[in-house]
Parts: sequence; structure tokens; C-alpha cells
Amino acid sequence: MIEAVLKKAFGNFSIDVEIRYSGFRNVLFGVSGSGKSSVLKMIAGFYKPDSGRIIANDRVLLDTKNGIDIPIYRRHIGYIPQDYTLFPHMDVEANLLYGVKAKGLKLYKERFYFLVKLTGLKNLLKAYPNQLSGGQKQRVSLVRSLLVEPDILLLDEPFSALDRPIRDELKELLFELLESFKVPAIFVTHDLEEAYEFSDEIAILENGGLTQLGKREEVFFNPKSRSIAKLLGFKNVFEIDELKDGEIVVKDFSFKVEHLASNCKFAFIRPEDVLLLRMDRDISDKENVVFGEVLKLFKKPSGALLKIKSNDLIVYSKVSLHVIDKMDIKNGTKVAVSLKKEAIVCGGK
Amino acid sequence: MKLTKFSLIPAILLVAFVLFVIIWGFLGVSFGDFKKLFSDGEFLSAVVFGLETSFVSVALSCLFAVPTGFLLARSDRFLAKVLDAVFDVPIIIPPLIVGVLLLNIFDNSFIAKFYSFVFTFWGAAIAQFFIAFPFTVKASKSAFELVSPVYERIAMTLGANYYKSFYDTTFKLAKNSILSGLVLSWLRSLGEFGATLIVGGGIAYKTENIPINIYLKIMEGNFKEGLAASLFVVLIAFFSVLLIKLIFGKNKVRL
Repeated sequence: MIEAVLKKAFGNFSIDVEIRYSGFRNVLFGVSGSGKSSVLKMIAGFYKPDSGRIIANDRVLLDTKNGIDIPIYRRHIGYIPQDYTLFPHMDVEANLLYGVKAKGLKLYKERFYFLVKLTGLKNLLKAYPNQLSGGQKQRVSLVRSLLVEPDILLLDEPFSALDRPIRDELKELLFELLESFKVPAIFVTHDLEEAYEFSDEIAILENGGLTQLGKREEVFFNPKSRSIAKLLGFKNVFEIDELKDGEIVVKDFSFKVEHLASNCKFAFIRPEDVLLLRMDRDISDKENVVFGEVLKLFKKPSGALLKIKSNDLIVYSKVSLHVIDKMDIKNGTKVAVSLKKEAIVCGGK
Repeated sequence: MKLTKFSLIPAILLVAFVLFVIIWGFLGVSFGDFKKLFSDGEFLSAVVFGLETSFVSVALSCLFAVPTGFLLARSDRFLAKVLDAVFDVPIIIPPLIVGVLLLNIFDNSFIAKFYSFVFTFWGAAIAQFFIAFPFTVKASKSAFELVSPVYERIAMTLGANYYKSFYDTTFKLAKNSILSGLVLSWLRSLGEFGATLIVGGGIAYKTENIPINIYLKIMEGNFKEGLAASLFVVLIAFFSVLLIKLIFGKNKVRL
């Protein structure tokens, strides 16, 4: 269990959050400048909030009301930043063992060599950081922080400077290590995919404030507000003009929906849930059909995004690339899409 | 022609200029001149005095200028900028004038009550310190600036306390550059003339350092001996820098 209640004012920006994670794999998600890195640094103890409380597994690390402020070196918190991770004047082995020595822990040689082998560092023990690749550096950093058996591991966008294949490899390794060490972690990222992959629980930070916190599925499929929906990849955000029983009115359209609260102001649907229909088939049984024209086609390796215009409504739909080829879709093609009713969710603001 | 190629010409000319001046100097003296130098008691006493005062100056720089450089590197406050400008002052004032200003203070009856600095070892050492410490402040400042404070924080997350984390990371990473700053301060002190002369008085066998000795030799008409003593200082400077580079230049750390 990790609890962080923090208030801190910086010049023209302030942080005010109450984060409570109960699981192991926790994500702090937000755009650059939302304050996530600062929150992480306050948890680590790099700087002090104006007021607040930090509790990790029932251990109080900071409580400004009661004058408790455990120094960094007694917090038992591991920290892995994006850069400047390894001590440049020590070889890999000295880097790995730095914490074990500083804390005066007993070194279990077998486990050390097991870890070094698992992480592919066995032949690099005598190498210096400037001889390592970015991925290797982060492996060292990871093992080094785990060897001192931290109560929590904080990861501040640790892989963002790495190439994709290396990043994927390292993520896998990270998951494996966290599992075997049973260390709860907080992973800061601005990458949606990474946030999803890593999280059991996710906290969303906007402008220094916590705007949503919950289990992954809950947050990813039920964003509370328009801005969160946008952060989480709901490209389609519609302002609701009227709310009827099981139906919403958006501009000239009315869509069937499943679960909508009465205070809904906006409806969201992911482009993946807007299905492209084949015009040569009978589509009379399809729900929430919109006929329109492709305004723009964006192709990516993972699929194509269609920007479709129908009267005043813009709808985004994500389609696999071979469908685009097969149906010969270009800018200007007339298409029909169906908005899956169970995928339409709503929120306020 | 590329700019880098073009700038090769002035670079070559400058190197030639430096080498020419030094080599021409060596051509002007014989081995006998050096031998004569080392049997000159006044010169040897000046060497000892110069070494002693300059070591005091460096020790004081270690004590005061290194921590000051750290402060300047780590605080981005307005004060740090002001201090940085203040430490330019000893570099830009001519040493002779520094000597006059110090003499003015040491002559003050209040200070003279505690210790008489005028024409003494400590007076000369303090004068050299005043002129030489800014080199250490500046070198330390840039050395500390190059080391990200993140290393210290990470060392702390690994269990090292404030002092150990600083010593193991920032200090060790900045050490070599600080040391070169100290060597600069030392050589500056060793070669200091104006302020040392004014405050110390240049009394033979008492407050006479190498440059003063050289000056006196030349004034007395012993140009050859003065030249040999000068070249001796060049050799000291050259080998000190070389030695430091050899000892600390190894496994250069990339920050």
C-alpha cells in the first residue's frame, strides 16, 4: 500500500494530490509538465512538499503535521530515472554493489550471479558506464536498485530514451524482476501504451492535480472527463445535446448507449470501437450507423485512422491496413461506420 | 578553404611563438649557469620561501575556495551571480595594487595590534592567496556544475548518507578538475611578484620569493643568472602540470 498526500507550490505551478495505490504495479500517467515526476521525487525524498503525508506499507516516511521526515537514505525507496543513472566513475560491478556496501547488507553471491546472468550483465561487470548501451545501463540500474531490497521502486520514465525493441525487452525483464522481488512499483510515463501494459492501478495527473485513480480497466474504459478521455486515446469526444432513455443526441444523430449516468455531458468512444461497414452487405441490423466521407487517412504500422465527416460530425475510426487496401479507401471515399453501443462511455466537464 | 583549416595558421603561429620564446631562453644559458644558481644561497632560500608561501596559499584555497565553488555551482540564486562577479576582482586588479590595498589594511593600527603582517611570511602568503584563490573557485565551480546532483540522490536511495553520497559521487567526479584549479592557484602563487613584494618587502633570506630574486638579479646586472632562474620556474611549472596530468588524467570519466 502506498499513500501520498502532497501539496507543493512552485512559482506559478502547484501540486496537490492524494494518491492511494493498493496494488503492485502502479502507474502515474500524465503529459509532460503535469507534475508526475515532481510527485515521484517527493515520494523519494528529493524534495519536501509544503505539507503532506507519505506512507509506504504502513511505514510513515513523511508527515509534516507530526514533524516526521525520514531522510532519503532511510526511506528504502529505489529510484530509476531516465538519465544519469549509473555512477560514471565506477565499473558495472561497483555500481551494482554500491548500495549493498553502503547499507552494509550481506551479499548473497548466488543470487547476485543469478541476477547478473538473467539480465545479461555477466560479461560486463568490469565495463564502465560509457562503454554500455542505453539498455544495458538501465539493466544495471534496475538490478542495482533491487539488490538493496527496497520497499518501493520508483521508475521515472526509465525507458523513454531507448529504442523500441530494447524498450520492449526491458519491460519484460522489469515485469519478471518485480514479480520475483515482490516489490511494489510506481511507474511514471506519458506513453499510453506503456501505462496500459504496466498498470494494475493507474493515477492520472493533470496540471498538478489528481483527476482520476483506479484499477486499470476502470480508468481506461471509463474516463471521468473529456480531458482524461483524450489522454487515454478516446479520439471521439462528442458533446451530448440531449440525454434520453438509453439514447443520446449528438448534433443531428441519436446514438443508442448502454450505461450512462444522468450527469453526462460528453460521450467518448475509441476509434477502435467505431467499425467500418461493408457497403455491399446488408447493414440494416447494425447499431448507430453513420454515413460519411473520408476526410483524411492516416496510415500507421498498427493500422489506419480514418477521419470521417458526416454533416457536422467528425468521427474517427481505426481500421486494419489490409481492409484499407481491400476496400480501396482513399480521401473522399464514401463509407459507413457503426459505433458499438457498449463502447460508448460518458463523463462530465 | 574550411574555417578549421584556416584557423590552423594562427594556431601554428601561436605554438611557434610560445616554443620559440622558451627555446631561445634555454639557448641563452649553459649548464654551468644552473649549477651556479644552485650554489646561490639567496636563490635557494627564495625557492624555499616561494614553495612555503605558495603551499599556504593553496591550503587556504582548498579550505575556502573549493566549498565556495560548490556553493556557486549549486545555488542558482542572485547571490551566486553577485559572488561570481566579486571573485573576478582579484583577477582583474593588478597584483601590485592588491599589494598596496593589503598593505593599507595591514598597516592599520588595530590589525597591527594582533599580528604584524607587513614584511612577514604570513603577509606574503595572504597576498598570494588573495590573488590566487579565484582560480580555484572558478575551477571548482565549473567542476561541480558538470556533475548532475542526480548521482548524489541515487547514491542516497541506495543507502548512502548525505556526506557519503557527496563524497562517493560529486566529489570524486569533480576531483580532477578541482585539482587542476588548485595547481593553477599554486603556480599563480609561486610566480606572484607585485603583491608579494609590496606586502612582504622582498627581504633577502626572509621574504624574497623566486620572481623577486630574479628581479633583483637582473637589477644587479646578473642577467644570465636571472634567465637561468626564470627557466627553472618554467621547468617547475611544466613538470607540475605534466605530473598532475599523468596521475589524474587516466581513465577519464565521461559525465
